[in-house]
Amino acid sequence: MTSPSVYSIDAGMPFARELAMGIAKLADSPERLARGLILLPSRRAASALQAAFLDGADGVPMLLPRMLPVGDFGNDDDGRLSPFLGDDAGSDLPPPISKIRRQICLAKLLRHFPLGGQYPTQPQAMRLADSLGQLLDQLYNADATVEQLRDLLPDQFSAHWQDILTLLGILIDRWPDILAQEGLIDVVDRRNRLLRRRAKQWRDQPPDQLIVIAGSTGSIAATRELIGVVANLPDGHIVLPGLDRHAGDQWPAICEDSGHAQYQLAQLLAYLEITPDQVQNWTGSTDTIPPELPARRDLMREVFRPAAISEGWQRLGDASPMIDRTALAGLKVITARDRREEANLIALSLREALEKPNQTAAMITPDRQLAELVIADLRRWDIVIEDSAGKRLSLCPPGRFLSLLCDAVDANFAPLRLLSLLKHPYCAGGMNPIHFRHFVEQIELVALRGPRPGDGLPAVAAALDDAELRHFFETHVIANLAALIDCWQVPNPTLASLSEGIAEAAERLCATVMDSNGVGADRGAGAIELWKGADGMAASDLFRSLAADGRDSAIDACDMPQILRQLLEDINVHPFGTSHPRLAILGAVEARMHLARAVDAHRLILAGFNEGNWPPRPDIDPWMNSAMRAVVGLPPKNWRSGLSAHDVYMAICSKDIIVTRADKEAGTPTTKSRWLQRMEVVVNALGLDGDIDDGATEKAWLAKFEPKTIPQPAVRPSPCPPLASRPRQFSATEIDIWITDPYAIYAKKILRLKPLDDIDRSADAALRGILFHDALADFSKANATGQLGTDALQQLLDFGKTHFASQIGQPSIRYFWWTRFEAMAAWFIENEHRRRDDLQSIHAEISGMIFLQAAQGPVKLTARADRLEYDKDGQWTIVDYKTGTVPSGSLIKKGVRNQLAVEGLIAFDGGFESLPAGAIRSLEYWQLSGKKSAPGEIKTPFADLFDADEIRDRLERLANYFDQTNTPYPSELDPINVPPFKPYQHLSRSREWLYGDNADE
Amino acid sequence: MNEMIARASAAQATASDPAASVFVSANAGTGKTKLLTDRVLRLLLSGAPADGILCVTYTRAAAAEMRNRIFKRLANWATIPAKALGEDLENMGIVTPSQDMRRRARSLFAEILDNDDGPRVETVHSFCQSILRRFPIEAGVAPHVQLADDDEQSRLKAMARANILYHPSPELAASVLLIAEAVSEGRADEIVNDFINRAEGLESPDCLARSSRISVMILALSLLLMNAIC
Repeated sequence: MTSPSVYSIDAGMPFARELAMGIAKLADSPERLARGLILLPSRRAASALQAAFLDGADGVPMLLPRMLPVGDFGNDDDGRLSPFLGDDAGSDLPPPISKIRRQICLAKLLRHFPLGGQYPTQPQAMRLADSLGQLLDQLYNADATVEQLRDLLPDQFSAHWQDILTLLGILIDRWPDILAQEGLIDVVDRRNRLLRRRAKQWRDQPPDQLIVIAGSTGSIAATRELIGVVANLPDGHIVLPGLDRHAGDQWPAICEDSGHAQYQLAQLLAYLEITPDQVQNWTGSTDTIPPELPARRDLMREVFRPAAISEGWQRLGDASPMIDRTALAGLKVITARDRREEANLIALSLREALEKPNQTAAMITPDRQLAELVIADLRRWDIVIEDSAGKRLSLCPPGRFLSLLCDAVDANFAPLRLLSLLKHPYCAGGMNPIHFRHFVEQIELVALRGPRPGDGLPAVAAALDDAELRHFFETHVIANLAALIDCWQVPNPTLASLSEGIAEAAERLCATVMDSNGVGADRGAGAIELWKGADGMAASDLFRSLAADGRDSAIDACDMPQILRQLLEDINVHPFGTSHPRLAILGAVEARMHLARAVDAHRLILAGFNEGNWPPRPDIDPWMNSAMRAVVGLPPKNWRSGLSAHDVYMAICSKDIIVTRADKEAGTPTTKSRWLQRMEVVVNALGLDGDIDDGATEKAWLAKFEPKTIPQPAVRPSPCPPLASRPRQFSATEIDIWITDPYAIYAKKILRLKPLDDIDRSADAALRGILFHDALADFSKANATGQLGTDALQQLLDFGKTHFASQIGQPSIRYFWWTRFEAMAAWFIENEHRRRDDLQSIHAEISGMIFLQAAQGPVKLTARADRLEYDKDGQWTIVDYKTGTVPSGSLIKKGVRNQLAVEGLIAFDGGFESLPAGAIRSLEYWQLSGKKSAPGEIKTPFADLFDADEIRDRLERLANYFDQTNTPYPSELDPINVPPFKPYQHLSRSREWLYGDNADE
Repeated sequence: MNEMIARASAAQATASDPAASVFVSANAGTGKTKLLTDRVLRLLLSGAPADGILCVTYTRAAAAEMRNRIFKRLANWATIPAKALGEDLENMGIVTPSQDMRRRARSLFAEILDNDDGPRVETVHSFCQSILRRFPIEAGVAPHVQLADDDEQSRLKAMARANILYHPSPELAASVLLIAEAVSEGRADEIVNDFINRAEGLESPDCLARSSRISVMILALSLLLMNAIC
């Protein structure tokens, strides 16, 4: 019996190319080649091999062997294999269960199992189901028998594991029955069984055709079995990726070190019962191998030296042959300040690779944010490239849109959620999307800024006075959402019913044409828009699965947003095809499955070389601890580190490799990858630490991109508009702003910028002030003269109720404001009774004006007095109601709170409409807080007598000052005394210059 | 002067001896991190399992700094000549290191690097989070529980507050009115926030009565609030 036919392509050699040329050599005739069967880890690997064959053929036509994937690490594994591997129509294996269906079934089970005394909620159960599914897959792949779980003695493990053990035991018992009932089988189980069958078939009846399994490390038990069979076939060959055939005396220690780069291959060799020196070198091309490749392999062998024999590092200095500088040729290790700089350097390196014709380059990293930064940076040179590792569906437009829709209906279309939905680029409501957006913006301004118009869509419609707007809203928004709202309110909803409702509403909203019967938008047209592209298709698959498999999955409607969000996050969308002919951005797993894309590139960049990326952080397994895993037969917790180590080994052994990392991430220092730390020790021991290229060239390039000027903070704006533009009318409250913050007047009255209200503005102090004022005004108008009746208090409360009516629905207002109002009203009435004896008449909410004389003409001052009292002596008392704070005497003395002074001046001059002029008896603030201790207080900060001339003089000086050409309007001239509401701070950028050097955060 | 330094070094050597439990108070820049690093290294040298060592710091920067220092020392030990190794061990307080200990010092670097479980150097937050993730059931949370960030926390608290204060059951309504009369809306929110943050301390009305002067009605309300929120 000949020994098994096992080869390895050394790390650093271009895999697909070597494989293709080697196979062509091995198959000594074209017929043999055409009848051959090559098994590879993934579909993409198969395409790459095909391309390599065609490249090597040099235009000579050839019949290629069949190239099939066996799904080594398949995430897009659907459990089906090619008919040539036994998965044909005659197969008696049941069809595979879809991922969603399995998740839903497991979730249903899990809801009935209390964990820690509590039954999981639906979203929790879905999460657990997903994780449990992954455990099941791991068990299948490792050929682990779950019966052993039953044998695990409960007292060996602490109490919380027992809960889990019980749960697992029951689940494992019931799961096969559930599957049988459905007539389905687990994806991974199905694939493994097919592979095993094929292995048995080939063992019993060995085929004599050329069969090659290439690029697999045999991490899955079923694949391993197949490899074992093929290795012993008459014309069967195994081609391993990157076995270190010269590991020599390290090999025994490697077999014990599950985190080692060669561990997986060691396991495979042990299974095949061969040693590394029995593995032959696969020679494909006849090119001379550059000397740095074997030298680098020697170096990396030392870098990965197992911990148990790490004292070997001490002998590095006098080993022979010595590892010398050659091993470092082509290797760069670049440390960037932060992720941003790292991305810049990577982009530069990728761009540089394009300078040489036909050169290819690839970046491999598990850090998707880093990939995004690099992709964005490449746009600098108009290079458009997609991340091959894919993007979570929750971050793609269709995913976002569906999620926004679900959130919106869940919140009964509260203003913010409604607007987020309607402003999504996909939203068109059955009309031209640009016009749709235009209408939406108008509705925002009219109805959705400021206090909420009410609950739900009808309230929004009711708030639209304009007929055209209302028609738009009813036809293009409400009509498309009506069915979804109903769907949400139907009792006993299921995952299927809710997701169907969402899908329908989403399709309608995406349409740009109306339905032929004119009610709502055309679903079909919308569907084309919504489900297009790789991401749309993924979303469509998800919703189709939910509709098909979620019929008997009862959930609460309020759980749907969270469940949907989790489902969208768990789906990774890969872009169709390869986006760029020469550059590639890859994830770690992807690069492993598609070696050719990675190691065949002329330049490789291994990015984000820190702990957490290389190796990835070990998952915390909620189902089993290390001891349990060992008993059951699962690989140890750090098995992914070993896979990652092999990826690193393959990458670093390439001819042109750049390793990059960032020193800091979001301000926190990072930890270097352990393999980089090892490399530093080894290089140091060899005396070569000065010889590693640290990317000085690349950093020099980057420096050329740095901006020449450092951005300076803004300075205090102080515009000087022409006289003709300057305002000539002010309200009493605007005077204060004119004095302390002229820039705000400039922004408000000259630039005419008005700040928008918040969307769905919550009830705030300003609203409270308005409600109190309005009620009091009504009361005063109804009781302008004479004494009050006995029902006065009731009358005031009734007025209050009227004004509060529209807001009383908000419970905070009902409890906190209304009680205040009642207390205030009681005080007010009592106060009224006392005052009225001396009064002739009371006037509320009266407007008035006077003119100041200024150099360029008159300046009009207006005011609206809350309350004017005309007493029996013909004197005026002017009152301003305040529900918040009252300006202090010192502020008034400084002349920065002039409202009452202006009102006094107007009254003095007889400027209030139809009211006579008169002396001013008193100017008062009434603080109407309604609090228990002092529901109302009269404050008279004007201690001195009112001096009309002084006030007029002061104001006219102010007007004259601003009537000069050179007078500017500086921002926050008097920052301490500026009135509190400052809407123009963003415009003036006051935070940049107001606080001096305190810009350091 | 040399005597002072010698005394200081001796004190540090005593403090870094893992046989004794120690409380150290020192000014900035005097070498606390080195002391801690020494202590961890001596623990490892004495054969303590790496996954049995936990260092808890307050900031992520401190954790990273300490981790890097430990690895730097270990990396050094892996390859320096024997004499230098002996001196370094002596400076740490290990007077005559045995062959075994030297060998251990050399091999620690690779061992610790590959060990995902230890020694653990992390912040308080990080440690607590990892406990919750490893023992979700005992902690009474769902597995895969995620820490809510500040925004999310505010949002959820606001929701809980709104539910209680603004949609109270009939029994609660009278209590809410009482609160509304006594304090402003903002203050009421603060009080509820306070209670939420101190949930564990609110076992019974008595403890609250003893610790602050709040009327009995509000005490009763607090219990109802806690039951409703949690």
